[in-house]
Amino acid sequence: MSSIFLSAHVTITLFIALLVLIALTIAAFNTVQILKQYRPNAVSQMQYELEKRSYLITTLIQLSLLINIFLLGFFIYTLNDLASLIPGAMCAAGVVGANPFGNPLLILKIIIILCSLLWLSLNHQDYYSKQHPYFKKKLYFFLFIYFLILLNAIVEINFFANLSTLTPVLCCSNIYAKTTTAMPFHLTTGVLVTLFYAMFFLLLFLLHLKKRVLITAFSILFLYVSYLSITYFFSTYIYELPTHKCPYCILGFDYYYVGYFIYGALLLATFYALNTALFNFEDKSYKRASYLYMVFVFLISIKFIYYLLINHTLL
Amino acid sequence: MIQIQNLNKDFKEKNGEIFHALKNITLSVAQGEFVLLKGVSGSGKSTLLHILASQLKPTSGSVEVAGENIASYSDYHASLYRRDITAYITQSFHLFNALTVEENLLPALVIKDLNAVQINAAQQKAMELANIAHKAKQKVSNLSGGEKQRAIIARAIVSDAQIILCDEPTANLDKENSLLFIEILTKLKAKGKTIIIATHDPIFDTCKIIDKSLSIKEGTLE
Amino acid sequence: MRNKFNFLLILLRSNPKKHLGIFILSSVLIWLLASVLFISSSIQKDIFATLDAQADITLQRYKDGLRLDTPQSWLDEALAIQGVEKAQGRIYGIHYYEPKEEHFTIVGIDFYDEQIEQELQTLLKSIDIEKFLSRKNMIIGSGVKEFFDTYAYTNSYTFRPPDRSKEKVYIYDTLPKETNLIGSDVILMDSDEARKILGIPEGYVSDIILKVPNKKERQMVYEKLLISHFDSRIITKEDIAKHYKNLFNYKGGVFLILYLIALSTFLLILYQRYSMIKTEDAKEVAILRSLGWQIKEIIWFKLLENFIIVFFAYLTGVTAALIYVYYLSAPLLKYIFVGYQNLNNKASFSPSISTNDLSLLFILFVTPFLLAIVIPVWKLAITEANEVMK
Repeated sequence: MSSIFLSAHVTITLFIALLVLIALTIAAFNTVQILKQYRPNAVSQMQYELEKRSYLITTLIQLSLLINIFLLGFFIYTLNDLASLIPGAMCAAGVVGANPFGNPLLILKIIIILCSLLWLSLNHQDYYSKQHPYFKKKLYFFLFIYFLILLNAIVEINFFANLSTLTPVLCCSNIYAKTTTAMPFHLTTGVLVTLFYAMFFLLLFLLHLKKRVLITAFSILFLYVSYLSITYFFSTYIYELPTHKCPYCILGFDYYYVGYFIYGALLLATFYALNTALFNFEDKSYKRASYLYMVFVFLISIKFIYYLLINHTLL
Repeated sequence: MIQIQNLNKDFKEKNGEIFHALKNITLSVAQGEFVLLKGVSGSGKSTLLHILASQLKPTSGSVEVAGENIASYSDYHASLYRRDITAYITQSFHLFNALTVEENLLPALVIKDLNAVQINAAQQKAMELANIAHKAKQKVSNLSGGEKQRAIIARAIVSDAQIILCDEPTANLDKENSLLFIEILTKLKAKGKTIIIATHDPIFDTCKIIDKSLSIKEGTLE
Repeated sequence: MRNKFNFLLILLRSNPKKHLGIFILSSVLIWLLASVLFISSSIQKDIFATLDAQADITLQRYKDGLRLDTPQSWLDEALAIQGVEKAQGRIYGIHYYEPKEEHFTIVGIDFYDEQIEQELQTLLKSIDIEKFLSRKNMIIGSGVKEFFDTYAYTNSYTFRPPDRSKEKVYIYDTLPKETNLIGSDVILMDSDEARKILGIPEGYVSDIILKVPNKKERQMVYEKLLISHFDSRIITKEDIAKHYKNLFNYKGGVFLILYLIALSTFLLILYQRYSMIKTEDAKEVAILRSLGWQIKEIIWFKLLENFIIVFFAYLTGVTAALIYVYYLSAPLLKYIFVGYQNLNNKASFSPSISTNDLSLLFILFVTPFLLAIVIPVWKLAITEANEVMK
C-alpha cells in the first residue's frame, strides 16, 4: 500500500467518495427498477408509486452532488496539501502531474459536476410540470452520471495508489514554462489571447441570438481555451512573474484563494450556457450565462489590464 | 366545480384478493353546494373523500375539479391542490399536541410564501371563524374534545380553501359541540364554500343547509 | 424557507424529549472520538517537543546489562571525533526512600557550564546562580514537593549518601507544574553535591552527552564510539524517537474496541432513526401531507431537523471533550495510550487543537449520518395520509 493513504486528507476524501458511491449505487438500482416498470400512460396509482420512489433517487443525487461539489474543493485543497509530501511538488500542478491518472481525474470531476448540475436543472423542469415529461430522460441521464462516477472512483484509487512520496516530480515552473514549445497545437501566446477574447465575444453574441447548437460547441471549446489562457498567459500577470505559469497556484492561500472565484464563475457560466442550449428552458438562463462569462473574463483580465495601463507593454 | 366520471378504486388486500372499494361512481357537485354523504363505515365514503383530497389515486375514471383532472397530478401539483383548493377535517384529533392552537395552524401556512404579518392575520381570522381564538395560546393537550375539533377546523380553513371535506367530523363530539360544529359550517357555506361531509351521524339529517344528500353502500352510490 | 425553519425550531423546542436519545448518543460518540483526537495530538506535540530537547548522542558504559559510571577520560576522546561539537558529562541517579518505597531522580548541574539540554538551559535562565550556590540548595519537582509536604520537610531534607554521612539540602524552589518534559519526580542540585549524595567518585560521570549538529555525521560518530568502547551503549536521538513512537503506538486491541464502540454507537443512532418510521413521526408527516406539504419538502425538512440535532450534539461533544481532556486530564481514557505514564508522570495535557482536526471530525461524522438517514427519512415522507389517519 502506498504511504500516501496515511494522509488524513486522502483517507477522508476516499472514505466520503465511497459513501457517495454507495448512496448512488442504491439510487442506480432503484432507477433501473423504475425504468423497467414505467409506462408513460399507465394507471395513475402505479405511476404515483414509481414517482414516490423517484424521490429517493432525487434526494440521494442532490445530497451527493452537494457533497461532490464540496469534495472537489476539498480535493484541490488536498492536492495542494500533498505537495509538501511529494518531492519536487510545490503546488497541485506537481501532484496532478505525478502520474498519468491526475489530469483525467480532474477533467472527470469537472464533467461530473457539470452533468450533475444539468441533471438538477432537468429534474427541476420535470418536477414542476404536471405530468413529468422528462421522467425517463432524467433517469437515463442519471445512469450516465452514475457510470461517470464509477469511472471516477477507479481513476481516483489508481491516482492515489500510484502517488509516490519518494519519486521526485516536476512542478508548474517546469511543466508549463518552456514557452511556445510546451503549448499544444503550436499556439503562441498572442494567438491564444486573441482567440480567448474573440471567443468570449462570440459566445456573448451567440447567447444573445440563442443559437443552441453553436452555444453548446463553443461553451465547451471556450472552457478549454480558458484553461490554456489562464495557464500560459493570465497566470503570469497574477503571479507577476513571466516564468511562473500555473493554473493551480491561484487556488492557494498566497493569492487569497482567488482561483476558486475565477474557476467557479467559469464553471457556472458554462453550466448555464449548456443548460440553455441543451434544454432551452428559460430566458433567465441565457442572461445568467452571459453575466457569469463577463464576471469570469473581468476577474481574469483585471491584473493584465492593470499591468498594461501602468507599463504600456506586455510582461 | 367537481365532476366525477366512472370512478373505480381497487385495493389489494394482504391475502392477495382485490377489494373494490368504489364502483363506477359518477357525481357532480356545484360550487357552494353542501353535500351529505351517508353510509356505514367501510362503505367507501372515506375512500371517496381521500380521492377528492388527492391523497389517493383512483384505479380508473376521472375526477375533475375546476376543469383539471386531479387523478393524473404529480406529487407537486397534488400538494399544491391540497394546500390551496381543499381543506380536510378528520374524525380523530390529528394535531401537534405539544404545540399551542396558534402554532398548530403554522404547518398549513409556512409552505406558502407569506410574511409574518400575513401569517398572523390568517391565524387570527381562522381561529375567530372556528370560535377558538380565546384559546390561541393554550397547548392542544390541555383542550377539551370540542375545542380540539375546532382547532382542526381552524387549521383546515386557514388557507381559505374553496372545497371543505369532512370525514366523520362529529364522531367524537357530544350533541352540544356537534351543533356548534354545524353552526360553523353554516358560516362557511354563507362564504360560498363547497362542503362535502361523509358521516353516519343522524344529527345532520335535520340540518337545513343541506343541498344534496347521497348514500353510499358497498362502493356504489344510491 | 425561513418560515419553515422557524416552524422546525418551534417543533424541536416543544418536544425536546423526543430527540434526547439521539442527541445523547451522538454527543457521547463525538465526545469519545474528539477525546482520542485531542489526547493523541497533544501527546504527539509533547513528544516532538521532548525529542527536540534531547541530546543528539548519549554515551553510557554498560556491564552485565547494568549501567556503570563512565570515566571522564571518555569525554576528551569523544570530543576528538570529527563532527562532535560539544561533549558534557552528566551526573544523575536515583535516590531511594526506603520507608515509603518512593524514589526520586537526582540531577546534578554544573551551573557555570553551557547546557546541551535545552530544557535545562531555559530553566537555569530564571535562577540567581550566586544565591543558589551560597549554600546546599535544591530545586524539586511538583511530585517531590507533594511527598515532602506530606512528611513535613518544608524547609530542607537530609539525604543519606552511601558513605553513611548526612547531607542536609535546603529546598530553594519548586519546578512549575507545567514543565512536564522534566519529570515531576526530579531533584536538581549542584553537580558536586549530587556526586556526593549518589556516591559517584571523582573522575567519573553518570554518562556523556554529545552535540553533533550535522545529522549525517551522527552515524559515523556512533560507529567510532562503538569501536573504541565496546563496553558501551550509545543512544542516538533517532533511537529515542523510535522508542517514543513505540510507546505512542496504539495498543491494537484497545483501539479496536474503541472503534467498535464508535461503530456500534453509530449503528444504534441509525437504528433509532430507522425506527422513527413507526412512531408518531408518521402521524406528523400524515398531518403535513394532508395540509399540502410536498414529499420533497418533508424530506428536506426532516433532514434539516436531524442535521440541527447532530450539529448541536457535535458542539456538545467537542466541548465535553475539551473539558475532559484539558481540564480533567482525561481520567481512564489516557491509559489506552500505552506507556503514557512512563513518559511523564502526573502529567497534564498541553492544549493542541487544530481547526483542521475539528472540521475533519465534523465531516467524518455528519456526512455518513446524513447519507445513512436519507432512506428512513424518505420512507417516512412517502407515508400516505390516508394510511395513518384511519
